[in-house]
Amino acid sequence: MLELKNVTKTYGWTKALDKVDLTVCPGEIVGLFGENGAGKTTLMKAILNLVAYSGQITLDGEPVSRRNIERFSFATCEHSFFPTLTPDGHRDFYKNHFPTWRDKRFTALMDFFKLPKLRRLNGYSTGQQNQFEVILALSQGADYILMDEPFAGSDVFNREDFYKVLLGILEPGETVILSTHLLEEVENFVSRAVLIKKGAIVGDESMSDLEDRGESLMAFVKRAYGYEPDRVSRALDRLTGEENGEEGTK
Amino acid sequence: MVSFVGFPLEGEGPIYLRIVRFIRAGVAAGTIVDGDEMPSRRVVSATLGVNPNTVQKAYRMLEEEGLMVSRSGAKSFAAVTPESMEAARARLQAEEIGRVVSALRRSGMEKEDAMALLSSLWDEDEQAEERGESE
Repeated sequence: MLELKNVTKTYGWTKALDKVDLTVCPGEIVGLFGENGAGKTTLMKAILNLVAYSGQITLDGEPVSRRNIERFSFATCEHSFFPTLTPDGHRDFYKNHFPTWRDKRFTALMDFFKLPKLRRLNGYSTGQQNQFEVILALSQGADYILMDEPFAGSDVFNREDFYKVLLGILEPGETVILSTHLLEEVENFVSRAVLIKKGAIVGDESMSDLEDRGESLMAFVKRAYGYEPDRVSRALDRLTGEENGEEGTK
Repeated sequence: MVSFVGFPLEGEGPIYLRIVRFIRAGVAAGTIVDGDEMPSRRVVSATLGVNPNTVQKAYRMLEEEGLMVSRSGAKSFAAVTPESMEAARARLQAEEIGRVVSALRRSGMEKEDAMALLSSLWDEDEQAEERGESE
């Protein structure tokens, strides 16, 4: 179990994380949602101990340190692979460093995405690089797989199939925390939605509760975020300076 | 093995209910028969791209409804009796007509007018069938 208690991170005057409490249990697929700059990436980096923070983050009761960091993997759009290594080079490196390395999964995913096996990573397209980043995170053999906007640059077919493959290969104890803007796409994929706004958690619901209430993920996000439905029309009014009250032209 | 290949990707309502309805429809239509093996939760989850919890919820409902049994292993099977087939059919019909009823009410139709419409459409369909036209 991953537990965050009262986690706060400030960059200068800005609160990137504001007293975050969050518990994630094994097997959950958590969607982490929020606008740009809301703190999604910072939250993941705090969990991984990549940024200093105040508060407490523990994995099964232990603080995250070199002793248990291999139980996490991280796919980030900032990329963590080695640009001059080929996929096979990565595989050798990971095999040597992670006893939990999932070789079969790695091969299957490489085939699935049809990634070139002999080319160095700096010769990959951005979309391919992102896919490879995700493959590494899934193959490391981690218990907690963190993915930060993993599908940037992937086309819709690849993404759709990817969710399916992921659902097919994930074992019951593997946990995923996924940040993305593609709400509708992951609505059926995640088991829980966590919303973050200005560094604070403003919503946390299981998808099954949402379903029972008949609320869509999009509606929940808009509600929790305090979305103003008339924002567009107000902005247009101001921009065009035309009279109000016209609802469509036909 | 019960197949989810024809599962409609777009649809109304929560996905677990759509899974339940899909199975119910198969039972009512006779394409799913007693003893057919159900795919594992994980396979359904991957085929449809939905969270395993959602599939689990649908399977639990199907078990409660008596349309499915899970043996001590992990495998699940369709359980169909003449009674449950009839019940599934009745339920589907009620749901379908229920949707039409709420659509008509939303459009502001009165009950008598709706009944009259139903009756005339019914007769028309019967006559069309007698003339040998089929849809």
